[in-house]
Amino acid sequence: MTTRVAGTDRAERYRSEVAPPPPDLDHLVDGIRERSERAFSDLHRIMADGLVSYAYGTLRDRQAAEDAVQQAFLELARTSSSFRGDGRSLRSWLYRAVRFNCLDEVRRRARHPEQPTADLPDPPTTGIEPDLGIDPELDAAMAELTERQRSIIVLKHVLGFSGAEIAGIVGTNRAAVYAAAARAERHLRRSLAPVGSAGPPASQEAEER
Amino acid sequence: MKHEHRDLADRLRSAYRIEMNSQTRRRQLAAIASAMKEAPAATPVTMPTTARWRTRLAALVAAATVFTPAAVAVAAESSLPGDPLYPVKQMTEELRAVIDPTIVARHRLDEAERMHDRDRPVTDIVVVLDEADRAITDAGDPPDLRDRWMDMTDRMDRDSRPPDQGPHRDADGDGPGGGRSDPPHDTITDGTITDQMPGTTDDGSPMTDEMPGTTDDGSPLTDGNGVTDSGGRHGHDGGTRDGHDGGSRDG
Repeated sequence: MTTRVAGTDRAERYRSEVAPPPPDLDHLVDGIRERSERAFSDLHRIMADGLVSYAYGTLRDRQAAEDAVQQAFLELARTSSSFRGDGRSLRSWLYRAVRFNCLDEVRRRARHPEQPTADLPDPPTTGIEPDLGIDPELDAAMAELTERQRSIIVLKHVLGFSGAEIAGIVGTNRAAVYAAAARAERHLRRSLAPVGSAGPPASQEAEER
Repeated sequence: MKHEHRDLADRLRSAYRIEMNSQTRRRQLAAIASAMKEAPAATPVTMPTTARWRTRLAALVAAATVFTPAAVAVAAESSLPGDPLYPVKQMTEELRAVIDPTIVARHRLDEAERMHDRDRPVTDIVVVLDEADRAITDAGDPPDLRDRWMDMTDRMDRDSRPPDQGPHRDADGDGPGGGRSDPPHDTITDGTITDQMPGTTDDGSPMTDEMPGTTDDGSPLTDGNGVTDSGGRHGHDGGTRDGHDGGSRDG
């Protein structure tokens, strides 16, 4: 009994305090499998914002984020008749598909940095539209994380996913998600901390090891 | 601490929570609708017949070669996903894996490495790494393999880093951290950093789970309750993975 309470508490603590839990999709699964256009449009209506936020957090480029989402839905449209699982796995499927698209996009850009798909401004601004409530400091701190860490952070704090579901999306186990989230959060806090509060970086780093 | 945590989450949410405007929505819906018309539901996406046929052949060949280690099996050892001999490798290793599950894990890791060297698409490598992940879990999470897996996933992450899109790193983010804030170095230590996590539980205790050796599967108490909504300890590789693999990545 006590362990259960402790466990629940831990799960609660893990969950983001800000983001509401992701929406339920169970009622759409059959329609998706039967390729109902209505179900797809409902699914898109429910999921688009979350997915585009996730892609945006990963790519930090709105246009490319929207493309990644569209691509995922097109893939689903092609293959939905063979989809098995419930609403939760449908949701994870979509996020996974978006993640794959983002990874490919990022890698593509790394190889051909001279021709980005989206309208990335040339000067080293943040690469995102400036009218979106941007937090450049946060953006810079996020840029220093790995793709996986960024994914985990966005899924957890922006979209409210549980550790298990994040693990399913980023392709790892829960333990690795917890570890990566903790490390990324520590990094972000340290980067975002007001000047002086972080202390001497070298010694802090040594402490950690 | 709690307060700080909330601040970070709030900040992340206000910076990255965006919405798709109605025009984009309409455009995407139209594209989806036309994609659905183009690809009729009749197309079976489960498993192409050729693949099934090939798998059967592979089963035969594998059965034959397991007992008479012929050149085929040896050649198949070095195959990568997509190669004609790859199913043979899967079959032989399946049989051998009954004896030693780490074989599969090792194979997948080797493959991921070589695929990475050959610039195969990330999407393909991620699938192989997922399989490695499962195999390592099945093998009881041996630390050496888990470390290798971590290194490998980090290598992938590193490659996937955007080519310095943000403002200069040392503008603000780099202040605290110096060398640390450079992920290429950071990632190498990734496997070992996990060793020190239990001492750094400032962010929430579940991290103790991830000590190599006391994996999430090894500590059912914390794991099972840690994420109660998971619907079982293999929630992540049951529904979600199957959903995806069975879906688009099959062909």
